[in-house]
Amino acid sequence: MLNLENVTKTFRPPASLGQEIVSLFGRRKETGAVLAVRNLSLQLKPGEILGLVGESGSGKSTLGRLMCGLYRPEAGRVIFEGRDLTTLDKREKQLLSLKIQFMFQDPASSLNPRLKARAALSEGLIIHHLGDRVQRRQTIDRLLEEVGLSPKLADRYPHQFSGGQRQRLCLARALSLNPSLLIADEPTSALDVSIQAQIIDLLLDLKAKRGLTMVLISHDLSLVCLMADRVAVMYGGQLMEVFPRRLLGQVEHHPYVKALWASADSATDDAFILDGEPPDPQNPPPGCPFHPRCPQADEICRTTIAPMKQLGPEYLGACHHLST
Amino acid sequence: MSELVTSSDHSSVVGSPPILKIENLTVSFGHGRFPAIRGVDFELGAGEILGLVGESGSGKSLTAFSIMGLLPFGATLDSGSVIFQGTDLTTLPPKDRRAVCGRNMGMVFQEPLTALNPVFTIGEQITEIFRHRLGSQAKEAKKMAVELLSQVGLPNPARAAQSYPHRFSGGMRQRVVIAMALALNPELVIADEPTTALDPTIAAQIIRLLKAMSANRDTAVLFITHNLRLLTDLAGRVLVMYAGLIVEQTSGNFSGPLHPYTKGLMKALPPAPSSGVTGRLVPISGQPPAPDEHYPGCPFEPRCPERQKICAEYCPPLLAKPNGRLVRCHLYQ
Repeated sequence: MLNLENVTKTFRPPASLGQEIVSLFGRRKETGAVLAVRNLSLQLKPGEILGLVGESGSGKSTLGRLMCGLYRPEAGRVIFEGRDLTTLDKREKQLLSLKIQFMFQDPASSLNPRLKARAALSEGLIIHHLGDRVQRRQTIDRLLEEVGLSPKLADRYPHQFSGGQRQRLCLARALSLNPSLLIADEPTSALDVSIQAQIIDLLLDLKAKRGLTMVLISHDLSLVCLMADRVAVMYGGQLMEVFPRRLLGQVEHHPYVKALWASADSATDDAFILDGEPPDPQNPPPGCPFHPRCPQADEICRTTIAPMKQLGPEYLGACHHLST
Repeated sequence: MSELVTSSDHSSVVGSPPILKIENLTVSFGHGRFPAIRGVDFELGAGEILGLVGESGSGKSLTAFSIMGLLPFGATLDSGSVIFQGTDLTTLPPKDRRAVCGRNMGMVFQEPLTALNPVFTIGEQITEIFRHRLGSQAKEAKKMAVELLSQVGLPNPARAAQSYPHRFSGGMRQRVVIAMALALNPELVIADEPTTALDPTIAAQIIRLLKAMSANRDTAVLFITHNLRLLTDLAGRVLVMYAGLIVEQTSGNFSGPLHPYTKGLMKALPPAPSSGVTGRLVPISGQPPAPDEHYPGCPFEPRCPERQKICAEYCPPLLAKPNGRLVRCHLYQ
């Protein structure tokens, strides 16, 4: 459904005046560039839930935004339903939002505080000329009921909702254009445990009812393992492993996945606590990004990036020490 | 047979004599209009690690702030006492209280970046503690600061002491905050969601550090979190708070929860990945009560799957159950 082919995305700080003058004389030295996603390929299958796991700075949110065309990759292609998103013009990009929708992490800052719920939900419908005023009103009432909110709440402002209700509102907004792909970036990390379970339940209900394909971005491996059909683990801007959920623990995992898994199972299992910190994205280590923390690292890991290898049916891993 | 528990009965639960005793702590905003903590009692033994769990708004952080005397603007202590090593801190004049809290207690805050001053180096901020509290000389204080930084596992501590907080990652900053909390070997450390802002593998490091530091120095720790799974191997005893009340006291691994709220939390928590469970969580319906909602009965009654008629009438007291457990629920009357 969605194909990412060797996608790379780098963020560069805006050049200062001094740097621009220097570059006029042909001596351009790049500083402070952050390599967020490096040469990454991933396929999304229709109807699945893909869980994208990683720590902060691993590039998982950047990847989510690349998937829906919010960012333009500097290399590689993002192919959705046979078309390369990087070559779309403005109008085609607008039409893309009918197909792919994005749900942000923090519901408080992704809703305009000066728009009532109804106005926030009707924006997409107005832009795409879907229905007249009466039809829009009916659509929004139906959407609100679908996400478990009373249509009576439509005339409230975002601050009058609780965190969980706001996230329901964001979900209703994302679904208002009836997309086929929903990318949810940490949809529950701002919520309490009991409310998180409600939102997860709702997401799974709506996914089944509308036949959505979903990408769930999260730092919580236990949450992803609960919901996702396939799990993709990122570290330092690269994919470490992609495996179907049912294979967790059935195959030899990447050392990083093992450590992440151990920290999700029990926070204090000493055997798997990693020392060190994730790599500095401005200054990534040569070779495998995980090698400075990896208990199995050897010479080849320090110099060469491990290619993504097919280790089994549907099971991909990027580690020199994994073999079929 | 269950019996009513008064605060003096808690000592049977705590092995060593308590260093901290909270009695009937009541805190509200707007002078009693919005109750935030509605009568909390507990004790903390020397060297004990006690977990305090609750969702946002349950009053867990406010409990910590009341102990330290750091109540935010608008919050007032309506009644209750905070007895630390035999002294009621709430009756002390502010100057004496600051001396006790600064010397004998430490606090680890949730967000290490806001807990550190951005315009002073790490070293300056730590030496300040020694100079102010112990009257140490500058050179000596600096040496102690570097030593402390190496104890919390900061690589190259001498250089770290000269760096500003923004140079550090979240995990390293939290190590610095832990170093500051433990600088004077306090008897009590309050850790208010110390790992919430951190990544899972870094959080594991910080928990291990806190556990080791508390064991080495025999420091009691009040560990506040909303993440139940963190407490599994950490705390011997856990208090569960809901809407400003302690609803259950249980063991750190939460085996056999009694209160319907604790049961609901356990079911709403994504299971450990290795359990192989997939599919649905069982959410707790509804939302926690808003601060201005007043319930004559149990605050969990509107969301409780096991509610009875009596639950709406009055709120039950904490009842003692076997194995030092406490529960506030009519089901166990």
